[in-house]
Amino acid sequence: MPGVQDQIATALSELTATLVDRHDADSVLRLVTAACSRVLGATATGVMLVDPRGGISVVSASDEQARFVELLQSQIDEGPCVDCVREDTEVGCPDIAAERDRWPMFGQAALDAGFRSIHAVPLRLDGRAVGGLNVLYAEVVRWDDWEARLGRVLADLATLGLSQQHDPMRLHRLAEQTLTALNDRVVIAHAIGIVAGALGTGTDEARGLIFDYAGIRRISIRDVARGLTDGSVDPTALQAADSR
Amino acid sequence: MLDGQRRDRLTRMVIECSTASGRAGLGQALCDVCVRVLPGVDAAALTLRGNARALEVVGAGDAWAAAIEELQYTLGEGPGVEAFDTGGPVLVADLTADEVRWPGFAMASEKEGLAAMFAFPLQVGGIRLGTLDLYRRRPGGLSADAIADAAVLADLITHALLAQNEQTGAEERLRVEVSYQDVNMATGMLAAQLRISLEDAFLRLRAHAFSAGRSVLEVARDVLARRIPLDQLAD
Repeated sequence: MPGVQDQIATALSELTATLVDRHDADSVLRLVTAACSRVLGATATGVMLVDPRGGISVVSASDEQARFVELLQSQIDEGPCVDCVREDTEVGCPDIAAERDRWPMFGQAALDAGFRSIHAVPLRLDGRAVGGLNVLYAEVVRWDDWEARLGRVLADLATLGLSQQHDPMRLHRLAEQTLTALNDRVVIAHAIGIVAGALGTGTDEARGLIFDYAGIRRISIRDVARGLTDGSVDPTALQAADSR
Repeated sequence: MLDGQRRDRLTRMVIECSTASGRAGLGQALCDVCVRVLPGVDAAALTLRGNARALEVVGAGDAWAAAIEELQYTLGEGPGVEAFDTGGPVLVADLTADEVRWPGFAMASEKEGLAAMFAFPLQVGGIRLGTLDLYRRRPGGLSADAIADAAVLADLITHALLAQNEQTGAEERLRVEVSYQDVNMATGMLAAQLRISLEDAFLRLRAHAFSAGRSVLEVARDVLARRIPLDQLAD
């Protein structure tokens, strides 16, 4: 079994290599969520960003099934991610069942979805919280100091991926990236619907087809989704790719 | 982060514009709102560039804004063109510093006295209408508040333009329900099943919900579960 050190080195080098190369927000965020699962042993991970237009929204999730995304998104008024952004500090809840009163709605929803523990780390830029990294576990997990620090590193890398530029343009870059990433989520949903409608499948299957197609062809999910919505990618091409 | 009060205020201002007659009148009124609300913005233009649509300027705050839009169109490059192509805002605080991105546009616009430009796409996912272009005579960026307001205005304007011909009240037309992924997936599904554009699918979904007295989200979930016969949504 490769050691933890090896796993950390691999995950971080993939991320930093993407950052120094041309990159889009979607790809960086996906690497961050994958790294959380790998090096922090998370059951599921999601990145949420403060929408300049108001509220806080999911932009990337290790598990794109509607159930998990909706759980994260249920944090409108209360929840660990909302707290971590509001207070600009890491919020850890090693055992949700033992702290049911902390977030009555979110806590119950998380337990119902099979999660027992959550750690939320703020994404920071220029001294303010611009989002949060949500790391969830199916069992009780108390973070050691090294895990908290690694969570911090991954959150910082996510912010760098979204804003990488010199002052004072970072504010602009972050707004550009955030709004693009949020709209990309809508494009992906449109594309899922298009594929489900054209092929007569359910939406989860359609999502799987899109993600597989992007994986096989090594193109970003965002580009596949855009192709489907502007007509340059035909939904039947996805089926062909899947049956290879 | 934008608070509810500011959003409500912007919504009211856009609703007031919708009494203006015709697309051009509406566009002009919306541009005026942008210049009034956004500090540091000297002029604004709304351009429509939809899929098959050639560029159409539906509103330009003044002759200066119209001239710059024409430049961008003629040269085929500039922040507005890029915002539409990439599907994200393009915020340029100093056009001369970013010259290499749009060499022709940077030079031509400098002669027109343009120093900074901020372009926001008018879009909902794969539904792409055009851009809201904001201009500044002096170099300098937008504040975080101004960016938030401009992004909200771009959303509201998108919905005002999308639902312009809808037979509903102005407020219903601006109700932004698209943050629900189920609505977005149902829009895509309808577009594929009825072989219509995402834009038309979205409007049919809304029209059906409105005439049935139900929420768009409820109708969307029925569409996804295939509980509504397609012919009921066909027109």
